[in-house]
Amino acid sequence: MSTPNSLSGWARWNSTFKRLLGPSAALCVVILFFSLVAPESFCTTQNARTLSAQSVVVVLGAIGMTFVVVGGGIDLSIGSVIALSSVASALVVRAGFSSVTAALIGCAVGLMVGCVNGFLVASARLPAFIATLGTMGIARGVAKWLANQSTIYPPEDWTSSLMAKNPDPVWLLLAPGVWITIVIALAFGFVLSRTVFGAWVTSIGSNESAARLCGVPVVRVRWTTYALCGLLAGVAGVLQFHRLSGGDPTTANGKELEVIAAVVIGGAALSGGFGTVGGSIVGAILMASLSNGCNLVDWNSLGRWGVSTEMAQTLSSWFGSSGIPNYVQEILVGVVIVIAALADRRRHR
Amino acid sequence: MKSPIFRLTGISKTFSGVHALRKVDLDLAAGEIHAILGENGAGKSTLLRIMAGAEILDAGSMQLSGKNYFPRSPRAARTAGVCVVHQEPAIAEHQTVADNINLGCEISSFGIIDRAGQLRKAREALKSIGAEAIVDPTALASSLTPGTRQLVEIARAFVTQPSVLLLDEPTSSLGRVEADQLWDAVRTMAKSGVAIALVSHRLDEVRRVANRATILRDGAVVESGELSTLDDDALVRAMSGSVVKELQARSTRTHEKICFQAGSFEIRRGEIIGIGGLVGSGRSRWLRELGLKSGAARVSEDRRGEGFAQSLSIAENLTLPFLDRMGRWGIVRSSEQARVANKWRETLSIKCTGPWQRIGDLSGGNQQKIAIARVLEQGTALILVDEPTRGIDVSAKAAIHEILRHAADDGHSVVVVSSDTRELLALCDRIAVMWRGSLGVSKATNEWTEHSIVDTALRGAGVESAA
Repeated sequence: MSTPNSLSGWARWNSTFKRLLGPSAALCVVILFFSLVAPESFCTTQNARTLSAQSVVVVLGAIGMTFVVVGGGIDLSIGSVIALSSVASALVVRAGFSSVTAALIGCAVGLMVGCVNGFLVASARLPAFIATLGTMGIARGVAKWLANQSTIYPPEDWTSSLMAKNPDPVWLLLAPGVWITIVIALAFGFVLSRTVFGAWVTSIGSNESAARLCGVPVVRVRWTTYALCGLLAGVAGVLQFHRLSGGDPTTANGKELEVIAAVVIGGAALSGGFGTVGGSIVGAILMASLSNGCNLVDWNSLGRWGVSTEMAQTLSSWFGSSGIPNYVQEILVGVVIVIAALADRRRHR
Repeated sequence: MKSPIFRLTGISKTFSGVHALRKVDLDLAAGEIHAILGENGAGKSTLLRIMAGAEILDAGSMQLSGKNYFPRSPRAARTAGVCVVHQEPAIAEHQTVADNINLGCEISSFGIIDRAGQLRKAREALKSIGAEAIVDPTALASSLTPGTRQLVEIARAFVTQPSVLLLDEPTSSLGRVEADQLWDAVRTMAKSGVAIALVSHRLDEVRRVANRATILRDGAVVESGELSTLDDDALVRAMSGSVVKELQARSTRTHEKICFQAGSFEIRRGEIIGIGGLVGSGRSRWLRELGLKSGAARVSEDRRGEGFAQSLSIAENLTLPFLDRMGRWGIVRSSEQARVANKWRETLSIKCTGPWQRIGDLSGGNQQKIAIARVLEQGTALILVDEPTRGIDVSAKAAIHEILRHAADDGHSVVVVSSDTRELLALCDRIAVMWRGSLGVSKATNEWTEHSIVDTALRGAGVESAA
């Protein structure tokens, strides 16, 4: 029996690998492209650190969102929860408590909103889109209220190395917050693909009534996916606070759409039943690379690849001499999302 | 009779004032196969759902192996040893067959799934129901045909080693071969001491596999006993409360004008052609393609998925394909929709509260009548019907046959795909059998017997490629 068993393991791994292939290839193309058009600035250790620190928030959000989406739901409140959690964290620090306490409070706030979402969607059976649209507004409003509509700055002697681009022990290479994110990613990837809970989430997203009839505790499992998503948004909020050194109630506005885009680019089905943490992370890094790289583009450096000076100047006159402007970035992200959706459609036909 | 391991006493259930069940008593003994019979709406499904924990009883009590049994959820029922195989297979399409078989009772340590163990268990379960050669446990469930989905559901019941197994129309989407495999598996299970309750509309099938029968009418038990003491007439009489006309063979008439021709397949005006064959032999696909080629209206075998918008009303569903006829300048007149719905409600005696009732609330038989009304109203000369009476009770079946005969008498040409051999023989003028994707030559019904249809479906004897 050992041969077919190992074959099945291979088949499972193989199919996951195939699904990750598209997003990964797209990420490679983006990195290769920016390595060519911004060689001095994009392809450096320093930028790798910046990029990883920039990706952290979307990556964490995308991990949580993967669980919700695979379970057949959606969570629009992520961006607001990030802001609320960072404001809460900042307030606790300002009140004189330790950074650890502040971080725990920030995470707890996220978890709390997640539980409310879980209650509304799983227990009260509201449509996820509407319920989380509501909590999105509530969380954002509460954040602004708590912060009195302005950024909460911690005391001047407060410093944090959690998101420092050049970490304190140099051998860390990346900011501690990035390592935290990596550990979370590995843990949650394992949970989704290898555990009973992960299988239950998938079964609910794939066929809810089948799951219920087979004795899967549908309400509890769905509830947990929203709670997890809220918790990870809380963690993201804490890291955002440390990165900006301030609790900004308007931060991460619209982040939920970026997160959903990352999950879709990563190959998850918005109708539920399929998605991988790895894919979503690749999607998140792809989006972060796009905006990071666009800011670093230097058309004049194209000369070394044999592009004529006139051509470089034309490009500069179209897009500005340094960096690709925001609107082009937005168009690019939109195009990537549409391509991802088209690829998904083709795969399922 | 052995002492019952599962005993129901005085079960009652009311839905918004309507009695679905009244004081139902039922005993299941270990190792017996007990058929629960009744027309649609007689309360069979409700009874099954109560036993399975999907519905909570209003009054009465249940005892399982001498202990009180009061499941509040399917999970509780499953834990207590009561398992269900559903009519519509409950399959999570994105997961593998092995995952589906173990769904809800995963093999794990510390919450981590033991995939190899799950696969082994799935293989064992498939083997014990004789389906190991048909279903690959590593395949994605979305690749399964309706027939094999049912086998997965039964394998799923197997892994929990239940003491009671409830089967709800398990063979309604299966062909003859798969059905036989299923019954072999069920008999094996009964021999090992499992008590089995079976809801089915196929009397011949019930007779073949069941020992005892309980018949429900309007939510109450009207008859119960050994099947050997009850003849078919008595069963039908008990179910319907009246004598139902035997399925009548259609008179052989000659039909002149050819209505449609594609390759060697041709159908004449006023003719009913039946297509037999196994599930998965390509009948439904062939019918779909015929529909595209000829522009004929088709009644799908999948009422839920392909047929109706379940949340819309009878009138809206009925007029959906020709809404442009329901008014002028793109404005739909609801009075016109209601008129059309009422017309068919009367002609086909559809039981409903009115044209604006949600179609999802109707019984399968009435839904099927509306599906047929829709293609008749469309007015195409050729009508294609896939499994017209699957999962429909005896009297509704007779009514639907009557409707199709009338349609043919009115000059329509009808193609019927059916797994029910008797239905083909009773309803059609000519019959052709599909075997592995190719359609055999059609012959007049009186040249076929039940045996020769099944034989051709199984072995393709004399099948020559058509088109």
